[in-house]
Amino acid sequence: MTASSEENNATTLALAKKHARIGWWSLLFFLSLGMLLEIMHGLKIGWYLDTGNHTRRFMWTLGHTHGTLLSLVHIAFAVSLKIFSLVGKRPLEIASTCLSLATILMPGGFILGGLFFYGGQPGIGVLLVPVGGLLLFAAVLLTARALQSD
Amino acid sequence: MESSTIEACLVAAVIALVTSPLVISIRRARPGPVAIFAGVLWCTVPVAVAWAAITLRTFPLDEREIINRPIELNEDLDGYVTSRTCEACHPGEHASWHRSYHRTMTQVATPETALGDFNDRKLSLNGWTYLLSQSEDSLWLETDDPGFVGESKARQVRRRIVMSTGSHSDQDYWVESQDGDRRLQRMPFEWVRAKRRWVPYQASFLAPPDAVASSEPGEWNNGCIMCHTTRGLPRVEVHASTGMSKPAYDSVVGEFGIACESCHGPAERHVESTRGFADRLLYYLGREGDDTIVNPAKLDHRKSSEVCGQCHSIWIRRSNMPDEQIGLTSRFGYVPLGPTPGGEFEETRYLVQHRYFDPKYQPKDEPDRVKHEALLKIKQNGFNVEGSFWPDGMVRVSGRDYSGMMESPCFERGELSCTSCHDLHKQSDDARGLDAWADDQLGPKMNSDHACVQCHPSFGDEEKLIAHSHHAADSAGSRCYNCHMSYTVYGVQKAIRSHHIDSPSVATSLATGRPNACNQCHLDQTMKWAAENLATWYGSEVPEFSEDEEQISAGVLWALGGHAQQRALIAWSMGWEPALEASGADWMTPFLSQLLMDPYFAVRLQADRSLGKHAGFENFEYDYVVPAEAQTDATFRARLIWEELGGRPRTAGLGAVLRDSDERFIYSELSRLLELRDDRPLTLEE
Repeated sequence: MTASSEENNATTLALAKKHARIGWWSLLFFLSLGMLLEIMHGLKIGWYLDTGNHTRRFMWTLGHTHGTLLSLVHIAFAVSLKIFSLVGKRPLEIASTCLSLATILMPGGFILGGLFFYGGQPGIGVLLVPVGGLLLFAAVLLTARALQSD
Repeated sequence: MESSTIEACLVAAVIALVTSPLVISIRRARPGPVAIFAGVLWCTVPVAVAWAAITLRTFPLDEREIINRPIELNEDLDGYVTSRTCEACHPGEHASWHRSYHRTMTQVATPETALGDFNDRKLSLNGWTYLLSQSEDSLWLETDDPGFVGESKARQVRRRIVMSTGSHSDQDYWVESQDGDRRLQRMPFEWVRAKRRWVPYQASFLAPPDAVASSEPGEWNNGCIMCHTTRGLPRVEVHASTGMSKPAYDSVVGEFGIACESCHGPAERHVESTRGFADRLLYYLGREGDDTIVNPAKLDHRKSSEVCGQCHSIWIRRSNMPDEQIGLTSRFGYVPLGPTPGGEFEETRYLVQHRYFDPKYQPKDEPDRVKHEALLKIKQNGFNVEGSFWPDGMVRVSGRDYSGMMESPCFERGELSCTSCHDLHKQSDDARGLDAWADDQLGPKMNSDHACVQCHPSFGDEEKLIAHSHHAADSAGSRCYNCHMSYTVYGVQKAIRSHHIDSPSVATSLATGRPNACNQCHLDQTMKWAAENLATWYGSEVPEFSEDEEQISAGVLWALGGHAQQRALIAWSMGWEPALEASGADWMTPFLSQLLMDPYFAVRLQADRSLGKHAGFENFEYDYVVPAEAQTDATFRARLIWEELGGRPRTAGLGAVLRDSDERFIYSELSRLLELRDDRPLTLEE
């Protein structure tokens, strides 16, 4: 094994570890958020459950589910890096950044959009969601192409 | 700090967070001016983006900022929490209530909630013209300015239509006040759903043709608000600026429409007591009752029915309140809050019962004496409180069913309540859709004998039923409610079953003028015929009859010689399936055609509806809103069609339906009976 390939392997491993860490910690965070939402159901918190707060309930539910699913995507990304030994590919580094940003923007946008809302309209935080969606799309596309060309 | 500022800060922080790796990379790669520029951009762009998004967006108007109509007040609710809170734990009940016509009884008028046609519709009434139109989110009424003097063309005023009432059979609309307060003024037209057309307001009621519909500003605030909203507060105050007699209206409600707490009472304590999971668990595990909320289904039949009777009864507000509490009031006065459901029914109101107007009435105790005096005083002041009853005390107007039911033996001696037949929430085992349930909110099978057999099981046996009804078991004559809850109430443009359960009596018909169940179905038969049958079957006495009553069918006598309600009921009955089956339709046309030019809108409406159900008249063109004087042509056309059809009566007694022995119609008899018509003005206050 050459020094260059060893270096690439180390980089890949570091990237895989990073995404595994992000994945598991964010999964913990969003599962906790899910429990918080359930507690609000259990205690019949009007701030979350009342018909007048339907927008908040809807946005936060979306934030919770998107966050949880994105956490799993992080773990899948880490596993893919390891299994396919994807090394030294610049697009993968970009995909990694896009995926990390999407994990903040998509659930964060939903949560902010539900924190402040105006009747049936979510707050402006929801504008972060489509940006996050585009970044996630880019991350998935780049990863798929990297796997294809491997 | 305002919430929009906090929102902008948070969004800016997220943008800054996600762009920080990019800025750090630039600063590492290109130190110097470029790094500084990137840093400045990083600081300012997220804030600018967030701030621009907030300032450019439009926010919905806060309810408190609305000044031209009553508003839903979301604070200081005196223990009310509104249906918005109830849904979280009771989604099923909320869903069926949400589909009910109770919810939509009062709505903010918008193009979405309005049923009527507001597409630049031009209407006219009594020389006035009205233009109805709509914009993106508003409805408008443009009409001649009543205060305009001079010039050849009247100046136009344009006012916003802000509220609506009803949605089941028709929808009324309310126009904003010109005085900058929350007072509403009635629009002079209403939308009739079945006919999909505008009609003058007074055309929808049984009232004399020259009656003028009230258009006094404030009518809604003083009257409708009490029953058509949840926790409605009229809040009529002496106008602060004038300090004189001009009333200012600051009417607020907990919720528009008749919502959860109209029947269950203020729910704040209930919400607090069931917030904890353990509390709910204990409750579901069998804790005895819940005294923090009213559940009409668990009250005794009297209290349970009073919950509905809050509005579905004939009542007046007690007026023995100090003037400063009553304010500038509606005709009956008001107190700030009515009794809560399940409380003492007559705490703030008097239930009006016909017996109190009997000169021989003896009050049973002191409170009863006070009530008796109050009712008599109201009558002396010229209010037609007796007009809601037939002469024997049976209710004759719609929407007052509790007043009728409470006089019934099943209620007085049994346990009948409104919920014996009606489900205010559609039951989970009710296979019907919400729309079918919402029509009359009857429970499953409650439009059948099942309603009565619940307590009278012997009539579930076919032989016993036939022995009792003397009609075939599967015929309309064996349906309990056709004889014991006949159609003697008139309102919302139709005949309605009486909720005062009684038995057919010809003697009562003679004494009160109220059609009896036998003759309302056997329209071609005389009262004597009905009385003799009742005497044979049930042993009732046969009263004495006049010559007409012996020889001419009761239906004909009431249709031609009766008062307006009798005529409207018989006109309606002439289109009622069981009556058509029992009496045949061929002989009815001369009478229905005559009623097409009746002076009352209500009678003409029913005659038209019934005629349209007869063979040959399905496409008969007629407009009941056109004045009676201009309807001669319609009557003539109807008779022409009838003669061309050449129908023959299948009744045994030709004379009873004004035919001679050659089956020719005796028009002279029709004219003679018309001369006897009871033309005393009659108004039914719905």
